[in-house]
Amino acid sequence: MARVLCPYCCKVHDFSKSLECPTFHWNVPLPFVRDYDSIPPLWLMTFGFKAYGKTTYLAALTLLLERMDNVFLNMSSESLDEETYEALRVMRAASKRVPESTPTGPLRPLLFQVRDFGDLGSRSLILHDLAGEQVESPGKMGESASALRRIDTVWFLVSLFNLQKDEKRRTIAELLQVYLRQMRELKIDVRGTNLVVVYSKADEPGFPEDLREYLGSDPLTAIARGDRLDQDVAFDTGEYLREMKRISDRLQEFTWTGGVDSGRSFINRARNEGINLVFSMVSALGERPTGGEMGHEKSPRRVIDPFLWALTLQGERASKSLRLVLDALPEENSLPETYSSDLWSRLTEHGEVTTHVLGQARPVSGPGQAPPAPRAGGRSRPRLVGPILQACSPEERLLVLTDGPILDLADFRDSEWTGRLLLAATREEIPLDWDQFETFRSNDDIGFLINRLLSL
Amino acid sequence: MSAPPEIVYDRAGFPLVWVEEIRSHIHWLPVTKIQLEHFLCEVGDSAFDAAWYDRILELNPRVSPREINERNYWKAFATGLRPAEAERFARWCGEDYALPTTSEWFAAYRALRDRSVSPPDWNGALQPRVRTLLARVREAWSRAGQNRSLPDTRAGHMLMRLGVLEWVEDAGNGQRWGGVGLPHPDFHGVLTNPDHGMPMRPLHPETDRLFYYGFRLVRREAS
Repeated sequence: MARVLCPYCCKVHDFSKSLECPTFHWNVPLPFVRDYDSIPPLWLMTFGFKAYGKTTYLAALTLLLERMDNVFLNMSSESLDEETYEALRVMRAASKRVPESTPTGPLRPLLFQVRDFGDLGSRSLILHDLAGEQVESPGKMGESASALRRIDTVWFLVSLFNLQKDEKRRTIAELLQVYLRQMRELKIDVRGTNLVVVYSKADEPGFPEDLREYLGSDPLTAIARGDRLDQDVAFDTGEYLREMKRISDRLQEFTWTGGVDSGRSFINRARNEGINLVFSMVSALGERPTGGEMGHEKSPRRVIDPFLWALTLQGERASKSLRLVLDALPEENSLPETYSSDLWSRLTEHGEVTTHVLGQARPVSGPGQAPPAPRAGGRSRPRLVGPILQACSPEERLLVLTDGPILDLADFRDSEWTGRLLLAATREEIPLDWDQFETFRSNDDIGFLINRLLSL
Repeated sequence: MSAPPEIVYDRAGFPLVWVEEIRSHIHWLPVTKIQLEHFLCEVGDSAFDAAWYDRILELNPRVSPREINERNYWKAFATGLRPAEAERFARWCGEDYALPTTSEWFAAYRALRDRSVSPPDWNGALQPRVRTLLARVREAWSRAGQNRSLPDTRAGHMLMRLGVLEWVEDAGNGQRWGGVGLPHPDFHGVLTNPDHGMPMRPLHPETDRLFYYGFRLVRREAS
């Protein structure tokens, strides 16, 4: 079985023994594990303030996906677990009522599988739907932090209507500020993240006529509404994606040129943070409900667009593969015993971590396994790194923590490794000639080393 | 029966070449410290710990492949090992690997000493630092050989001359181990000549740690 990342905690576990996530104690659906190679995961997150329409949007999207076999004849989709099925059932329960907002509590993602979606293939969706309260109250997302670090694409829901009408007036730039602050608190690196700005409730006034025209001419609305169809719907994926890209550019222009309060500041800030920004607009209901009640059947518009963006952008942000190499002479080590496990734990927040000791080619622990505690009086191994490097693949990054000179390190000076290996010496007097080098003492912040490694 | 491949590679990625006269592959160069380090990183034997390797490096310090030149290239090789330790390395390489016998080594030498062919190009099969080491040793030996008017033949390229003394199994001569080859005089001055076909006889090979003794292995074809 291939290495499978748990959809709940995002760590690698041995699912051949048990399907239970050891962190959250939820069972991982068997199809997710079994089909991991052929149906790769797509990690998504919704982000937006309370009442911006996240839940309504998800209800409309998943319903549309279940009906997309009217477009792609071989396509199928299903909830992967009871919890997702139940959550979607609740979301869709009242056809004329707006669903309740997202419940707060431990962040359990929706697991949804889409097979044979035309040219775009098959995906297992891992969808984290953040409650509005979790967004607005710093610290409430902490327990689910590890799960959020794997996110490829964020659906950043913005309701221009709510921005203008809510009692607490905010701007889109402030919403981004909240997102960035949360990510910083959770120590999540946002560089390279795909942020799909989803202008929700786009049926409300405020958008230029050409954009409203786009919204109103969605070829999939009949499917989304559940209409009986006499014939299959003609849908050219390539042409649809090109039009979607044109609309993204048009929405960006609209945001930049004053259509959205603080829009220019928002775009500039996102660019400065290295975020990949695209725009879309949706209406999950087709009209504004009055007093929580709908006047017509729901008539969703363009709800497929953020999903298509996620599919096409996915893969541009690869997960990091990291190796932690520790000194093999624990009795001489000047760092506390807990240091290796702390360092390992922090590194796992940023990717899969394999741990070695200097002088031993075989890892002491694989991805998802904490390194064993150093043993006093254990075998002292010569400080050698070459055989470890030889087993690494080209995309891997190494953090090597040493308490003394590494005998063969000079062999790799001026090689490809100079940009991929961060060397941290625990004492200043250690003679180490290496470009990426830091002296590191027991009272130094681990985060500093990790940031240095991630910047390689 | 198909012909054996001209080149095979050991567990550390270093080449051995086929020598028809002994029906075996033989290491292109004496075993290097890089090969020994692969061994050290893979075996669980506590005898080969950090202190053991420190002692080996005291006898003949390490040189990085990029820094090899005609004045230091012998530092690239694993020397100072006792024959039993070299045998342990051979077992790690595989069950068909062994220290050569005296007759095998001299037979290979005689076959190669007059063979004027360029070294193989290795077909891109080498790890970068192995490639660097082989190229730098080749350049260093060429300069050293030119200074001493040695013929530019395969035995020289393989450092059977101007290399290190090499352990061989010398059965039937009172003691099991002998020394062959010709070390670079700046490494160790000893009066020997491989052309004479007569091995050196160390006094206490099982216990002495002789800094100028290295080794290479043969990989015998399965009978």
